[in-house]
Amino acid sequence: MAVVSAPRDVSAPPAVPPRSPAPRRRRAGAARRRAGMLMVAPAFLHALIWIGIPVIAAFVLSFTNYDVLTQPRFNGIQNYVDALTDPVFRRGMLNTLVYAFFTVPVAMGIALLIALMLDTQLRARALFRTAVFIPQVTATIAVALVWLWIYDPRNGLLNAVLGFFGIPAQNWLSSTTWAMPSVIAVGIWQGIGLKMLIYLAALQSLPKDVYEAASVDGASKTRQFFSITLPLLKPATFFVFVTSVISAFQAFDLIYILTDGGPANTTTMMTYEIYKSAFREFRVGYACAQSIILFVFLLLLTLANRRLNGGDSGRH
Amino acid sequence: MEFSRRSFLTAMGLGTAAAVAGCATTSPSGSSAADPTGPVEGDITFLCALFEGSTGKETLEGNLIKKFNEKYPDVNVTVDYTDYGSLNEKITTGLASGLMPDVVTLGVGWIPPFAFKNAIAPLPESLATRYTYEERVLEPSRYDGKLYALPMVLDTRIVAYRKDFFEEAGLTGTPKNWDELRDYAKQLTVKDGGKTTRVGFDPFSIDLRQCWETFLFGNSGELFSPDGREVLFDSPEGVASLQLFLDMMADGSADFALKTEAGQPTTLQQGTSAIMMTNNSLYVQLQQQTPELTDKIGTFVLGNTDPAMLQGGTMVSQSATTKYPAAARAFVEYMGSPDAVLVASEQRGSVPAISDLKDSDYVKGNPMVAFAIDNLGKARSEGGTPAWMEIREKIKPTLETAIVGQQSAQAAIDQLAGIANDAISRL
Amino acid sequence: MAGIDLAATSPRTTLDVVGRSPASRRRLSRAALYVALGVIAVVMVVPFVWMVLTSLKTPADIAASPPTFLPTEWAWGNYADALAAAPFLTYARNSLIIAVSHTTINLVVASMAGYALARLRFRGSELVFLGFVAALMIPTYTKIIPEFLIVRFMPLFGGNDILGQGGTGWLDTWWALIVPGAVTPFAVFLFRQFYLDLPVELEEAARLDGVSEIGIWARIMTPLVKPAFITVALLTFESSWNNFLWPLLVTRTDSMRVIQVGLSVFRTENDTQWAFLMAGTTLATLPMVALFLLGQKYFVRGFANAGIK
Repeated sequence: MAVVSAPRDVSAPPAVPPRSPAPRRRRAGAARRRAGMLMVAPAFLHALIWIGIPVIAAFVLSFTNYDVLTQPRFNGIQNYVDALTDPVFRRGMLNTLVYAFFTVPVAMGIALLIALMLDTQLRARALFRTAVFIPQVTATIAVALVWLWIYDPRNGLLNAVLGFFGIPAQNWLSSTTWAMPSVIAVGIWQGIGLKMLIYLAALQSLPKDVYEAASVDGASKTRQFFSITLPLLKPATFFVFVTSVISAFQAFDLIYILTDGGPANTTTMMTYEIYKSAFREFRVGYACAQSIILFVFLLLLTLANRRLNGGDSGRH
Repeated sequence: MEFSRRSFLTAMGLGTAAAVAGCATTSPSGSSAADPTGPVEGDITFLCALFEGSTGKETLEGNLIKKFNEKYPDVNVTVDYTDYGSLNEKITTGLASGLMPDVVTLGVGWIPPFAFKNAIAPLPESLATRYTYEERVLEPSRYDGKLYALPMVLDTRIVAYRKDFFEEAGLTGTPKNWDELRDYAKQLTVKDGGKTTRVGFDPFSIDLRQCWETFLFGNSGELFSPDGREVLFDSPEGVASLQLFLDMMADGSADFALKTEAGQPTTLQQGTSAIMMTNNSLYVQLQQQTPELTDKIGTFVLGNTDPAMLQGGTMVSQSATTKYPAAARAFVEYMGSPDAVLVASEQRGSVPAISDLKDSDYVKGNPMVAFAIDNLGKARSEGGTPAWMEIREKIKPTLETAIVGQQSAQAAIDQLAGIANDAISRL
Repeated sequence: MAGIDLAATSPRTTLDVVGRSPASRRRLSRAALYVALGVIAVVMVVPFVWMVLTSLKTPADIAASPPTFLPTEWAWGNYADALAAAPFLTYARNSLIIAVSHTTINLVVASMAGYALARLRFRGSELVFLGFVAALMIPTYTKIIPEFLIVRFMPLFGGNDILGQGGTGWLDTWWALIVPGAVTPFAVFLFRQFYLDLPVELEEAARLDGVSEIGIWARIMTPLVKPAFITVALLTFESSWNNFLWPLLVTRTDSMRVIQVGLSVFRTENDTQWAFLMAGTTLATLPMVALFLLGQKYFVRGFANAGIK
């Protein structure tokens, strides 16, 4: 992800004077395009079968009352109406949005910061990187238990620390006010590792000489960061943003163990509701409708982000 | 490009065919169950949420199934082990693909929905009297008067208390009704400064749904009408059961934030509660974690007008679409027999469903299980309507709104009744 | 632009104003960096450490309240007991086969596709790309039933006829465990982003030299995005290794089950054997940590532009 020279007209061949430029360019272009299609084909076919077909099946089923025990019966947009008027699902939608709104930018910012810190000639940097990445590979149940202990109103670490400063103890996960912020904190904490990894990989791909040139010109580190690093990180940032939003919208396991969606649905998420509808209540058609709603949400968010940032690369 | 468009269409065709075929082979009403009195032979699969791990497998396959094969050598049983949490997913995919296992373990409350939609086959009534079952224990296995499953293990919700705390407070005996419970709880609550260090009563360490149901039944309330089509819990009894928790929270003798957290010992063990709703499996936990408390903890069954002990449990059932109904039936019968029931209960610290087994060494060695067996006459179960699967998930979050003070108990119960009626109307 | 190596000189002049030597200033900021990273590392590592410590506790220790950090009695036997509870060696072997397969296939197929989407513009490539991104937006639980149906009705496998009827298709086979998760849109997306801004000059030069498009991808462009490969390898391995639900659903026989399914043995309906669960989980996590540490040496600045001019 680097721009090392002034953008050139890509289509002009540099050295050999073309005999008949137009046909060769078209032929060359056609060969490139065919190669492109062939190279995408395996992944595309795989996704078509294993994701495309299930998605279409889900779409079709969302207009039925399929409950796996009996034949599906068409029931129009009833599922969508039910989902959009169900106060619990609506709460789930709100919670998901709030959760994503807070976890994504904060985790991204912290992750970038840590990646920058680790992108230096540090001793033991492998150890530091592993440490930051460890939450990503630690079993969800272990993570959940530790946080349950941290948030425990009686024996928990958080209240102990707060008590030290004279702040009264709170009922973190049992309180309708604090349950969501508590879950958000855990979400941020858990999301940092993966983002850091991506940013680190991206930073490793940046060229040294642009920075050196900028230093010679007297640009401060901060200025270098904002004028060189950030723009060059655009592709990575787009990726991290999209995948973070998607995973925030699909947050499930951890919340399930921490709060089971409570108290009183204050921390339930769309994906949890979908899971419950499909596998606890056997309302598969309804769950499919809920999934399509979730999908539309995410699609709109991603497209909006794409539009706002004008694409995700500096070149094409 | 030609090639990719063709492969696209092939893939679409394949997928649509798969989806359609999948739905088509789901059993329609009027099952194709062949004569269950034919020869007992065939390959059957058993989806099992019990007998986990290596010891479980050894017990089930090395012991029980071997004995079964001695009697029926022409039946080949393949066991598909799952954990209880994934049982739903296994059944759902099995049903959707027409590959429902021949014999399956199910939970309490699941029988009416599955029977109503013809996923499981009725069993002969003779099996209900083959061994000594408490009539109440067989309730969850029935739908529309017919028997659809055989109970194997039970998990009951009982009230446990700290005898030492009772002694300290000068209390004798155990509460016989709610007024006494409130009174005892108030006396047993200990405060240190402004903080409560011990609540008198902790109802929140078990699932709120099952706790409320226990109290509902103990107040002579009902969940649903016998045919399962009418909601009955929105009665004054139902509201009062929920209100009791609110009242005790207002008394200061119960606290929603003070409950057993995952990974930690129960509040009773920690001494942060004096009376607690719990599961009979607490005994095993006590033995392992805090054996010194074993003598200090007692149990009782509570009710207001009608003592009730909520029973959950696992039952074994026969699929309605099995290709070898005789073999499946024989296997179900075998799994419901005392041999299988006893070892299954022993492995998990659960209550065996057959009352005769109370004379077994296992039960005699586990006081809480023995207590539960003795009180099976007071057992009540949740469920009772074909719409149960859709309703049960919604109970806890809806009732919690009252617990956290978002709405009154009456409003919460009414809201729940609305949800239940919606689900029933969709039947 | 000449490739002057400026690392030796210190271009900052503001330091001299402060009156401290640049060296000690750097040392101070270095120290601060270490401290900050140390704190962050501790915060991140606590659950892992706690998991390991819990795996070595006796039930009495686990029940201690308030909870103790270190075990009073080190129950090393927990590991042996945990391993005996289920055929974990078989499960680990299976998980390894699946994870390695997924990783290799994903690395090859997804990087190829990501490269093509990034650099070989063809009609509809933008839509295909958005399609891959959109594929990420459907929750797993929604796809799982149709995916199961496809696996079960796979024609000409497991006793199925050409229309996929009659048998069990791919159920209980390695096909079902490996194929559906072999390529992920996440990886395609990631590779595309990393391939995006590599200099076109390299491509053009190689093309002039007569290298095929696939050759350009494999021999020239790919070595420049090593960090992307490591990242995808790690993540694919991890998600495959930790996969629970899909292997549980598509297999019936115990000999094809995976580690996470094995670990669920410790969580029954009534209670959980925390020490064993943590022991098993620790063992299951160690390969990941080891792989990550090993992969570190490929996380170096891979892009040298010395050869371009």
